Amino acid sequence: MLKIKVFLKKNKFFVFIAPWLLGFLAFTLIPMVSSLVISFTEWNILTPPNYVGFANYQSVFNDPLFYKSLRVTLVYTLVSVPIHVCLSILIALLLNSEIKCINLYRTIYYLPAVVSGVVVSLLWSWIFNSEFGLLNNLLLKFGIEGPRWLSDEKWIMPAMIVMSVWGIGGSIIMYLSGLQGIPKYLYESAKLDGASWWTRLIKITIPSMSPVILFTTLTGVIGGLQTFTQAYVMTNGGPNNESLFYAFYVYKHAFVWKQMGKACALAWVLFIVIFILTIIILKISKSKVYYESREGGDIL
Amino acid sequence: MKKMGSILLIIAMTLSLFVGCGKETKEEVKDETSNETTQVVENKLEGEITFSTWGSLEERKVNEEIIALFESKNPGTKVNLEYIPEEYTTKIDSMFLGKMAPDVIYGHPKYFVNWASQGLLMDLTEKFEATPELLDANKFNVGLYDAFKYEGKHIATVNGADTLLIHYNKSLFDAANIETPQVDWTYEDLINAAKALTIFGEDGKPKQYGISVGSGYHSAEAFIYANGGTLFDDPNFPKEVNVNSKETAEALQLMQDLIYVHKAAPTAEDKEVLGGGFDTGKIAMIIDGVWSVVYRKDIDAFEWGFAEVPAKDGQAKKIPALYAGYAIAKTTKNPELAWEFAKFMQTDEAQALLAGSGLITVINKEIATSDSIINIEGAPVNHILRVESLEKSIHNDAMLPNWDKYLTKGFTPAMDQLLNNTISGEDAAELLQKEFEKLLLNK
Repeated sequence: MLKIKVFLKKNKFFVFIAPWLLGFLAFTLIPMVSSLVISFTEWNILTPPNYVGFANYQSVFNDPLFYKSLRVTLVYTLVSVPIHVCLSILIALLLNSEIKCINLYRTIYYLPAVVSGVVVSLLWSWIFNSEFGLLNNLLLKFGIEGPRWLSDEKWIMPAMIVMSVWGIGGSIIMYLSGLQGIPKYLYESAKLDGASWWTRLIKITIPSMSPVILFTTLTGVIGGLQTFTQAYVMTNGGPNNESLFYAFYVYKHAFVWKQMGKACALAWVLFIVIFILTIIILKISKSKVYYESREGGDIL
Repeated sequence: MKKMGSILLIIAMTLSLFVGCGKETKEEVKDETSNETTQVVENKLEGEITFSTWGSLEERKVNEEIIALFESKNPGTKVNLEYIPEEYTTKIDSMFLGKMAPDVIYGHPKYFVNWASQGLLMDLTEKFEATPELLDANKFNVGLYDAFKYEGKHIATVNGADTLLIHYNKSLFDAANIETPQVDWTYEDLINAAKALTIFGEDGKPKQYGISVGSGYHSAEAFIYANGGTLFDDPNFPKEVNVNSKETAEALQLMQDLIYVHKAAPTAEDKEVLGGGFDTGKIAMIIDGVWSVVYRKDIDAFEWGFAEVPAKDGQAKKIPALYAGYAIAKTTKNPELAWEFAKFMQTDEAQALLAGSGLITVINKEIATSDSIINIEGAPVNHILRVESLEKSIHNDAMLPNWDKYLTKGFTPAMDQLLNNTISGEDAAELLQKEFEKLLLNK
């Protein structure tokens, strides 16, 4: 009993993180390693896997749909994330003002973010309907004839991007709390020095919020590259595979075509892509992000 | 005491992480109560089996009636219905993986070819040969068995085949004083009728369309095969791709022209809104499978009928059909009972029940053409066409284990572009040829 007590006391750290560690091993690390191993085999789930070396990776890089799917997903992410960030900051600034019923507005903006992805997809497939949908009818009032959002291959990606703006409620809340953390005296002294609204925004607000902006950009990019629901529920990858999001393509390989090996290979390629993008973003942010406690970010 | 308490708490929290883990390795597997106790006694059928199927609630009812009939004829047996309305193949795959596959599995040949290629289905050739009645061409439409063979071996009994035909709204035709679709209709007749039945409102927006050409590969096949085009040399044993032909190009071009040139058909999107379009009387003609009788027989707002999709210069050459049958898992613990049940589906009583719902054109020739079946309540005009069209039927799916890849990489993108007016019928035919060949010949 005493020996156990002493052991536990000496290794307090590991004892405390033991639950998380077990979960991490069981649900993250071991599956990751297994998926890496499976990516070097050919496995259709029902029969034992057999080793094929790099054949899956070769097949991935020779697959034209892989490049299309990667392009689609990257375009979606790299366009929608900056839009989200700018829009969220703008709305957060508006919601930070002291007008009546501000809580009501905050709730309204956050509400869409809590609706389930499947329901959102179904709802938007009706909003986008070119004949009877809300969007095209609205555009008609301005004299614009809206396109066939969901069946025209040139407009499906803009449609997905428009739809993704629906979920910015979460980041608005984060920016709001970031805004509230900015000390008021900074603004007061800036006003005294004659700074305009725009200068105050660029020189005080944005830098003070830069850690939050970094966080939402990073999570936005990672999440955007893993988009799945819209493809599965709304578009089935179409039209002409122009909304074949990468995660959906992995799903097709794994569960529809029973090619687990290639699916794992695809998943690891995505991992590497996300990893590289993350490093790039963090490197860029090093000089731009201001942490009050220390100059510059030091994540890397 | 406090320390003990906190240690116990930590252990409890850690253990709770693993509560959710079971033997199943995939999330889709939910705990199903499909117990299979086996007590096979010589010369008497006993025991329990599981029978899986999909379908609408009407279909489920028909299956339950058949099971009740079987159990009453074989007291001491029990058949558990495993009803899977969504994600059928995914569920069955997980069940195979968890070694709890159903004994008798309803399916299309394209599912069976997958499972058979992994050695999961029982070879039924001997059992078929021991029951010569099943191979009697006078009684049964034995041509259908070809689609249910893997490497020459029987792998399923068959309930029937449903062709894809034009469903037309007779009341709308009569109201506009237009001749209903005739057997020798040409493309021109079809176009004229569709145009005459397309009505625009005062705001220039269409209130009614003459025809909907559909957007999936089913309706594309209906047009292609009718005009004499093909996909493969033989869909049941495909060795060669020959989709690129003048006939295919003409058929695909017609589909596109009906939407964009003649303006008699809605685009893929508009069809979504106006449909329930056919069922609410807003579209005069659609391409659909004859299984729809099972729920369309309840329509009493208008009269409707069947017609064949025309060829460019006359009667349809071939008509695509969907087949379905009953396979037996190799791992079944009760093979005798499973075979008896699968065989039961082709007996007169079961076939009568299946046909009586309007759901399927049964393989038993006499029952399929009998008066009581053809003239069920709510049957469409020319209901007999569902049987007659079987003579020209061709399997709509290719018996390839990765047929879905052909759809994702070839058929669906080609149809998307065609029906979006981005490429012509000729280009679409060429695109199909290219993509199918890539997959078939593993280029």
